[in-house]
Amino acid sequence: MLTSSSWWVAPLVVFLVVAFVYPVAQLLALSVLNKQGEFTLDHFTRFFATPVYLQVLVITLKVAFWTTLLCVLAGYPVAYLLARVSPGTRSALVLWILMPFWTSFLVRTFAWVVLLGRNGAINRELTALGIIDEPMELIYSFAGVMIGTTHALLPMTVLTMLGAMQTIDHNLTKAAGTLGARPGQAFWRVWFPLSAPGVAASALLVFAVGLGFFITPILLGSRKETMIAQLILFQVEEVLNWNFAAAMSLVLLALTLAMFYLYDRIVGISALAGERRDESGARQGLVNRVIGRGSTWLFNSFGELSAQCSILTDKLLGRRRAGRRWLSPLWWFSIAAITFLVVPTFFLVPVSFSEGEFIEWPPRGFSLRWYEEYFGSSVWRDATLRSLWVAVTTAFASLALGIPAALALSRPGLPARSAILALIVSPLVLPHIIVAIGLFYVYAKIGLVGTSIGLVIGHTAFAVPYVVITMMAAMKHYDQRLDHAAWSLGATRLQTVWKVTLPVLRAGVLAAFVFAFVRSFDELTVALFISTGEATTLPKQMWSDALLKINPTLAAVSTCLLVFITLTIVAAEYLNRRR
Amino acid sequence: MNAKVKFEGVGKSYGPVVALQEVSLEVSQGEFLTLLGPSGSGKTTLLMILAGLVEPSRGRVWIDGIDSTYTPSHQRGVGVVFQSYALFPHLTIYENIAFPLRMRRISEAEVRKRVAEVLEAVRLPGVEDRVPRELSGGQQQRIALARCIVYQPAIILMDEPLGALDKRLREQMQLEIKRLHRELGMTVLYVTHDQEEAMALSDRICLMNNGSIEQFGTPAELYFQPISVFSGDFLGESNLLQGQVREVSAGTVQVEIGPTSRIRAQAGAGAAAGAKVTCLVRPEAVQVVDGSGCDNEVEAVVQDVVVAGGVTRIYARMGDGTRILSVRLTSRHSQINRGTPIRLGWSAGDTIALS
Repeated sequence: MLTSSSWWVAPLVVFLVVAFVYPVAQLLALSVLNKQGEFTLDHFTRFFATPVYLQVLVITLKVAFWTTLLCVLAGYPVAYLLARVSPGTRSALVLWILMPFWTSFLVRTFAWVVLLGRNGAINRELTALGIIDEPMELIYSFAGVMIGTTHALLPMTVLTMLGAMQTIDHNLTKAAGTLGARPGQAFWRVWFPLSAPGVAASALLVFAVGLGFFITPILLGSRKETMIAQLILFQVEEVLNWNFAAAMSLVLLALTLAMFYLYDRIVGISALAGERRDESGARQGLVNRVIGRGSTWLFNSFGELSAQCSILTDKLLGRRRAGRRWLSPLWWFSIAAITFLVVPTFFLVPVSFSEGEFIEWPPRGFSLRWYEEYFGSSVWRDATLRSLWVAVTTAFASLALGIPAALALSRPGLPARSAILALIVSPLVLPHIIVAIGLFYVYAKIGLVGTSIGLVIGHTAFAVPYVVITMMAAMKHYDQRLDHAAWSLGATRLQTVWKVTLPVLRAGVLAAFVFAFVRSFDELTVALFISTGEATTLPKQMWSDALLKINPTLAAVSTCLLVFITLTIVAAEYLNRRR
Repeated sequence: MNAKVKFEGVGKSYGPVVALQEVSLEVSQGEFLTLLGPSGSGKTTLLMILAGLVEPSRGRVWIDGIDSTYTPSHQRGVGVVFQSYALFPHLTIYENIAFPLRMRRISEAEVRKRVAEVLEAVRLPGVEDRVPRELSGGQQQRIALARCIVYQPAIILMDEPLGALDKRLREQMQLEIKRLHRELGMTVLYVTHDQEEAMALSDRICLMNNGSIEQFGTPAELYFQPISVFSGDFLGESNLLQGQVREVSAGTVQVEIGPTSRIRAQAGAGAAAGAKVTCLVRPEAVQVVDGSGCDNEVEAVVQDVVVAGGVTRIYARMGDGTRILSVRLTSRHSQINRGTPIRLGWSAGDTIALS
């Protein structure tokens, strides 16, 4: 039965079909056409028959694979710790882990250049200490790309694994202890197998997102780390071969969708929107098959091994007396991981006050010249104002579309609910470059390229999933009986939402606004294509500058951006607390 | 010394919050001892300290005369049945029950034999290949019990194991637990907030309140000889009559509960002459009487009559407004209506004066 609130999701669905599905479909259709518009599979033949392209495909898979491995290996202990500490400690730590997420993607990437470049902090310090004779090539290499991608995707890995681990009953490991399992055995036989589906899911997610990276390899990699998205960019911007770009986009999309197919089989695609599926037998069964008998045996062996080790240490050191409270290795590791996430951003701040012409470490002297350069230039000023305008408009548009949809999705009985959720989260997880090029292609026909409204439409498609997810999370703790009470007291549905639901959920609304604002303010991929010439956004301006030369102006802009976004979040938090 | 378990001044604080004051308690071999109390009384904390899952802030825990205060839980040989059952969701019933045996490196043939035996004992044979969520709540409870008894720990701890079951199932499981305790002869420490369950199962009850022991004794002692108003009120129902002690003689006291009415009661703790006391009398001891002959009699007016199946509850109010409840077996012959003046009587032996 269709209730009237089911229709609240309609505007968002229509918007996404027009601004997301249609452009992508238009683009992909090009892949099977030649320049004359006739059907052909030549582009695919060319792609798969040219060794250079295949090599890029292999590199893409390699980068995604190693990123995934690093993220999971570094993220698992952190997630494990987070799942086991008190809720207060957990939220404090999560705040730090989310830090990079709030700071601009470009800012973070520049920060790595400052830290790891030939004249960067690490090389300088090591040379000064006499540990190395000449600077190491830390960036413009595979290692540089790995650092950048891992840094970008680690927060997401930790949080998705944490989500899965929080569903595990802590009494299970305690029970294993009372049944005679040593802590190591309890971990490998009970905790680890139970967390395995969550690990698999976040690994697939990281892999899928990693496939579409191109900004990081351009800024931190060398020619040898060219990824498929860079080829697509090249075909569109330099060669203007749309059909071949479309064919490569389809290859990239197919790889991504294959990952999400597996993801859906393991945890269900709606888990991306923070939904926990009840553990139906079929899915558990699949996971068990995937994990397999062999690996169960493997986990048990790990358990056995760790038990033997602990028996041995007990014998060597005597039984450990309780009461000694050192920070465990787990804590040390997590602190290191969080430092890795947080520290780079702050390295740009001292650099921005340098007197020198170049980004270097330690910064030379103190001056405000780079800030004068930023504030004095009309190009930078216009870009900043445009970004602000676009971001505010995007945030309001996203709330207008996203909140009704989230309300409708939170009520039971919405038809095709998981399909709608999948549609809403897909802009988040599909390679952004495909969406951006699709929009570029469609906009070019109708004259929206280079307009702010074109940017707002594109950004809204990327920001609205955050709004829906945030609002749905807030709705989980919302007592729907409040709505029923309001209706029974004579309020219409609209009045109820306006006077009861939204005021109660104001923290969620505020968070959703900030999310949407920051996403748009920081967005580069769409801006790369849509914001041309006069209509440049701040990230686009930073990007163009960086391609010419990474100079201290960028550090100054980044510092301003850091301060501005921090202030936005603090202000939001203040508004939220005040009432 | 034959104490199976001995707590010696055991306490637990979480920062400034004291969850458990200094508690000392001895549990005998083969005993069924219940820790009873309202939530927050420290009973679960005490249990978790014995299991080795919570470390005490003070005091010592002795098991079989050995100081086990800091022994890790996997070396204590203490079985725990968790409130949430804590069955491993990724393992079959067979593997769940086999888990403690595998930890003890018992041969596969022996494992198979013992799992089959224990499933027989909890009356659930044939569920080996299922996974926990395919079983009902009552069945999961039996499996949790089976997993605990399969390796024959000398001590079994149960933390509100029947809390999630409905009333009928709970009573049935109480009988099962009682039977298993009798047949296997292990020492059981049982936590519950349900006084009826505690009375039904226990050899002795340790009543806890605000992190310390309120009263410790057999169910009958706690029921008939409460040492405090809290004890008397927590176990079963009580009529509480406030008054002042007028005369004390040979274990009995006369208490003035109104300007004209006096009742006689056994002297409880602190019931000295002139003391303000609360007289406690069980509703089933209070009966409607005609004429005199009882030790204690009061006039009252019936406020409400509730026929609760086998028993009838008469709610009455005395002249000064004090409420008094009388419970008797339901009978089809004698009907009492609201507003009727009645006399209620009971004997001095059923009354305890507590300060």
